[in-house]
Amino acid sequence: MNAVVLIDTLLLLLVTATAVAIVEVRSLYASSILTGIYSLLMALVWVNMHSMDVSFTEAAVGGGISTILLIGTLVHVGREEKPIKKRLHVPALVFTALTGAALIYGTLDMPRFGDPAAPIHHYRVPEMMAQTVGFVNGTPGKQKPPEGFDLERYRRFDGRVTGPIPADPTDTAWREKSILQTEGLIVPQVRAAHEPHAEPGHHLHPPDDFNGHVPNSVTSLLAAYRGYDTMFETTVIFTAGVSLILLLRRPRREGYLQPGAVMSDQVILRVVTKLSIPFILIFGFYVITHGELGPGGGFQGGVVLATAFILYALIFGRAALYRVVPPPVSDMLTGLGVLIYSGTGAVCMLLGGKFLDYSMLNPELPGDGESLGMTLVEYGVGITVSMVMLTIFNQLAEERST
Amino acid sequence: MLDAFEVVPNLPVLVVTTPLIGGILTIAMGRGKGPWAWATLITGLVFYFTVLLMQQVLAAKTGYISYELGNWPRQWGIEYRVDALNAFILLTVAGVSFVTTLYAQKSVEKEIPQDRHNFFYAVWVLAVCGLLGITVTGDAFNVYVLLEISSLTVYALIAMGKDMNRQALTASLRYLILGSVGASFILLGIGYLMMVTGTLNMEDMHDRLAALPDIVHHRTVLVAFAFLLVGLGMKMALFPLHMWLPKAYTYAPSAVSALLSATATKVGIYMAFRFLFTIFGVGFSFVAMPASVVLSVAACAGILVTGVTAVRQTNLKRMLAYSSVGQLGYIVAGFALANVHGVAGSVIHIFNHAVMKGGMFMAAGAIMYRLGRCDLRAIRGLGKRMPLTMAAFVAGGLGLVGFPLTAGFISKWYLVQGALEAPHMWPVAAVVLVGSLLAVAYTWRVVEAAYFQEPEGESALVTEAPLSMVAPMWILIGASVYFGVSATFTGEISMRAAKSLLGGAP
Repeated sequence: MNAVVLIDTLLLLLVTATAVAIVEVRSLYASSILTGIYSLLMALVWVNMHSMDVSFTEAAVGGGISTILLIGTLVHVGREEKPIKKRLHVPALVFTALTGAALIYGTLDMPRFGDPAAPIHHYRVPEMMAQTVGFVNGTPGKQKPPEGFDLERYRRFDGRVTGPIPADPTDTAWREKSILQTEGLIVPQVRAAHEPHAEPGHHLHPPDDFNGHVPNSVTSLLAAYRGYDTMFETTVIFTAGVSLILLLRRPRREGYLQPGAVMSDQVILRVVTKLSIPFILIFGFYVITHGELGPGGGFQGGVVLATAFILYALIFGRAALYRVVPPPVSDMLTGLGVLIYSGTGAVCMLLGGKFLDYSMLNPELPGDGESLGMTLVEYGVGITVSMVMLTIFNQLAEERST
Repeated sequence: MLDAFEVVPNLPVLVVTTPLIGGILTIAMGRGKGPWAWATLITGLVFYFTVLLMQQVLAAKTGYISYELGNWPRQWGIEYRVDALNAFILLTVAGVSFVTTLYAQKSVEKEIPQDRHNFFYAVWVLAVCGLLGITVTGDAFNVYVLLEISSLTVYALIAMGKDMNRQALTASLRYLILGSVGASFILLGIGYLMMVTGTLNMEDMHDRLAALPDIVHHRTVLVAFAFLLVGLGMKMALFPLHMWLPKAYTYAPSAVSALLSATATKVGIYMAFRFLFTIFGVGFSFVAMPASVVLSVAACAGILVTGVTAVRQTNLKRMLAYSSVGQLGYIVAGFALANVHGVAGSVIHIFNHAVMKGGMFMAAGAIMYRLGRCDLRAIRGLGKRMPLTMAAFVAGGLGLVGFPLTAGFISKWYLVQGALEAPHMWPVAAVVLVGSLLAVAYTWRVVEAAYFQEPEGESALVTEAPLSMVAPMWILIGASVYFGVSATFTGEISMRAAKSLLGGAP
């Protein structure tokens, strides 16, 4: 038994125990804290699977901010569960058991975990991991460029794309290599000979540094290849914020603010908070900006930024927070983030390309255009996520008048 | 900068990004009529785009239009693919949304607090964006992302019912829980499919599934199929998974009920088309798997049970809600037959039911607007006091019955034809006829109250609803009559969609 399996087994036991405890425990406060623990354990599971970005998100969102929001909800509903007589609901039990059985039954024909021959590892995804999607077959000259294509410019960039082509497409060693070799921009050609590229010459993404070609392949997947999905994920966050305002915000005539508890008379809390907030903010911006280099990006960075504001509100009261970010400003910023994202896509379209074709942003250096586009959308995500988290916190903390 | 931009090649993405950007900007439209006017403008523009898109699709030689987002190859990026089927659904959803937005102004003014109209219309436009986004895409995961948007917005819209009272909130919460369970099943199904195929593009996924050896015994595929069926069943309110629908439609704001009944569940059915026909394929879903039997039994039971329940209701909106579940049963029973006439009947009824039920919910909303309630007692004698509204309601009701010269007749004609063509499916035809009798019963109860009873109390003093409500109502009801008399356009499109779904020529 190797170490990974050992750790996984241990984590599974802990996760199960936590889940049972969440259901069983009567105090809602305890159960909120337990959900935070559950998320942290899951973050460890993701680390064990080498998916650092997912782990980072789970830790920041599940372990961090959702726990705060759940506790915020307790302000309204009270700390204890109402005493109810627990009865066994037979249909629910049967349904749950059936679902669980089906889930397990479905795993029986799944590829084994980490199997290099699994479809997910040799079909479509290798190009995404190697970030070669959209190249005109790697080697110029094999295909006739279409009319109007600037071959000279293409050659200028293409001189750098001379990487070795793996002999066996199912060989996965090239992948590690390709990720490590981004410095020299050696791009492996992984497509099997029998499988032609989508329409030849159709997708002329520039084969220079960006092209979704960033050290962290998760970022190229989320911000480039499936950037359109990410735009709508950001919209989901935005919608959540707006819906909450719609449902919970107090009518304006009553004013936004009710005096709440303030902890700023505690010297230690006050000093530590003031000292740490600048660092939290810098870290948040760092995570957004450097998402293409390491784990992180707009979502995680946005959550980190939001924690700085929420910490400030917890210690100095929401009146102080509202002086820094008045609700009309945060409302505007929640929309601004999504607008930056969709606006970037729309500008690409107005310049004559497809929606979200970042290379249109800089016709001279398409790679720089893609770099610019991806940075812009990451900031869009960061702004919306941080401001929506702040809005959710504010709306939950607000006492409803009725 | 705009020299290189053309509208026509970008139509598929404009249909979704216009309400996205427009929806966000609605917040900045201030108070008063600004947000409503802006929402009308946006939905009107989107409707115009869907009309253009329909023309493009009909003119396309391949029978479909493909748009690759970000210019990434479709197998790796996200593809928008529009054929006759989704062009038709897009047109329906966008058209009804536009007319409903026109209608919403007075009703929202009365039912939603003035200070949050901008947020309300923002969520409203985003809901339309989500529904259109599901319909236009050719990517399985993109469906799920847009499903999240449409669900979240709809939960919020329902909760706004009648000054956010307890009933609207619990109806919304109930839908939120059941809807999330359904969405989780859909997500699990998509995840399992991706694990087996290694791709998310629908067409690519279908090819990979078809190439699997012994797919009928592939346990991961079977579980994915079952999960998708349950998840989609919840989203399209298939009996007995419809439990969220009646309360949600009853307690939602009137305009929201009209919008949802005409669009939300229809898009759920569209998703079922894509998963069952396009991804799994007819051979797997309806020949190898017992989807035909499961779906038609559920649909027929739904038609009968909810028909009887609808007859017993006294609240008009609740009656319409139960009737909606039954009408969705017709749509499901149609495509469960898996033959050309059955599927065509299903597609055409998506449109026909959208205009009929949308118009009827608008009529119920107009009664709510004048009287503050819409039960059978309140509408006594209203035939004289609000003649246009009640006439619209009755015309819509005749459509539900399937009376000749209404759109409902055309749908049922196709359905019965399909049921008689399929082997051993004649009971479906019988159920369609019994369902029509039940529709006669609940429509008659309204006719009796409105035309043959004397008004009492405040009902005797009301006047006709304002023109801004009556006109949109009659646009939809008028459409249902027009397409009942002249069904060439809808019939041809549905036949074409049915043939392409069943794998024939487009």
